[in-house]
Amino acid sequence: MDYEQIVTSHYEGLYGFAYSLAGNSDDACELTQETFARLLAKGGQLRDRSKVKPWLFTTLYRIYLGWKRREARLPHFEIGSVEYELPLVTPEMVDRLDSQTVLQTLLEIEDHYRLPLMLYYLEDHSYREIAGLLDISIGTVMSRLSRAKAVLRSALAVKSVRVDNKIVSINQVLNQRQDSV
Amino acid sequence: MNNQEAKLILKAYRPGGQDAADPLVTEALEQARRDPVLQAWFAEEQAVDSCVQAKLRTAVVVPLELKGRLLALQKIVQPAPWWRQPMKLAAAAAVMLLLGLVALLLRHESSARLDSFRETMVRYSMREREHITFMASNPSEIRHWLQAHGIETNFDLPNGLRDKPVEGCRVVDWNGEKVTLICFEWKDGNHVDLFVLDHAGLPGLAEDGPPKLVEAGGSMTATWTKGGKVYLLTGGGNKTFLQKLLQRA
Repeated sequence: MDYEQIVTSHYEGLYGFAYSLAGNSDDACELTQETFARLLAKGGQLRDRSKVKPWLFTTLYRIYLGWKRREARLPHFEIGSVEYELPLVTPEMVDRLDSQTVLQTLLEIEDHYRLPLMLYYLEDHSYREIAGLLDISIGTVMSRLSRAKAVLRSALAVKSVRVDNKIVSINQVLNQRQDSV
Repeated sequence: MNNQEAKLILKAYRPGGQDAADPLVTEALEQARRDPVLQAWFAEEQAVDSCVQAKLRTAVVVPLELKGRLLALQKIVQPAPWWRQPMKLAAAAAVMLLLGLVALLLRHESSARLDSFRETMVRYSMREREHITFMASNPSEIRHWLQAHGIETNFDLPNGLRDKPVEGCRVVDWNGEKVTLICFEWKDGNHVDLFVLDHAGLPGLAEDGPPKLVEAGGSMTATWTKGGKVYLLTGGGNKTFLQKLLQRA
């Protein structure tokens, strides 16, 4: 298999996953590089092309777990429990938020909820693929996705309200009005 | 499937619709089609998911230089040699272990077979007083007699036995293998028997190995292999006597 082709096909997705794990660009780059270095060190062992993608994601996740075991070098935030059956946020509310806020909100969720959600949103992994990658049952994936979405939406709803109530400068308002005219 | 179960499954349904063919999802989608309340909930769920997904995809910006750095790895990282790859190393170790076990078993089996051969021949040599069927006065007569009876005569007598008085010979059957016995007897009554067998009858023995002196059944024996034959020499009373015959070999 051609290494360049594999990099081109998967590096962005892997970086996104790494970013969701590490929470910053430097560590995400390092995780991605280490994953591809291991692929190269493995030589031609991965002959089945369909197995390359799950192998890359699983390897990256294992490297990250190794990091975590060695030292608590990555920040960890936890959001308190929320009711996850309620639809707390609407598409309009999400639209009002900038993309960095949405990403930051996701990064603040604890690992075991954030990871399935990141794989779901960013990489279009199916719930079955997520179960295989994180080595958890399908039922656990579904319940974590459900819980994670509720946690994320709850946090987004709070931030959306803050945006609504934010005090902005008069120049900003005037500029916005000028743009709309 | 109730609505709560359907919701749990539909929350794992990706906005792009790739999961529509999944059996679990299909059932949940069917449930949503039947129930307008569930359908409305699902539409809202998908709309929010699409929105969040779009935001996240634009938020994560892959550094421009990353791809170049990944491609450059090719020049730095070399594939690990097979002995540093745990799977290959384990497989190699397993094969070596298996081969070792097989070799051990074969060796054990061949050793047991040699013991059996040695003991049987010594017993025969000691107990059967009239243990030859053809009496001869020299080795040539013996070879002629054996050839006439369809027995191979490409064996090689030890030098120490070549000028010794021959008594005669016999061919015996040992587990389906033909064994040639050549009997030597000295004037003082001392006597040795040489048994010759095809190497194929005792597989696993080292080819052209040096004589091995072992006591069996109350008699000293020497066994060795040479030119595709296994030789067993027994009698003479003691080890030194046999060693002298073999030293000159």
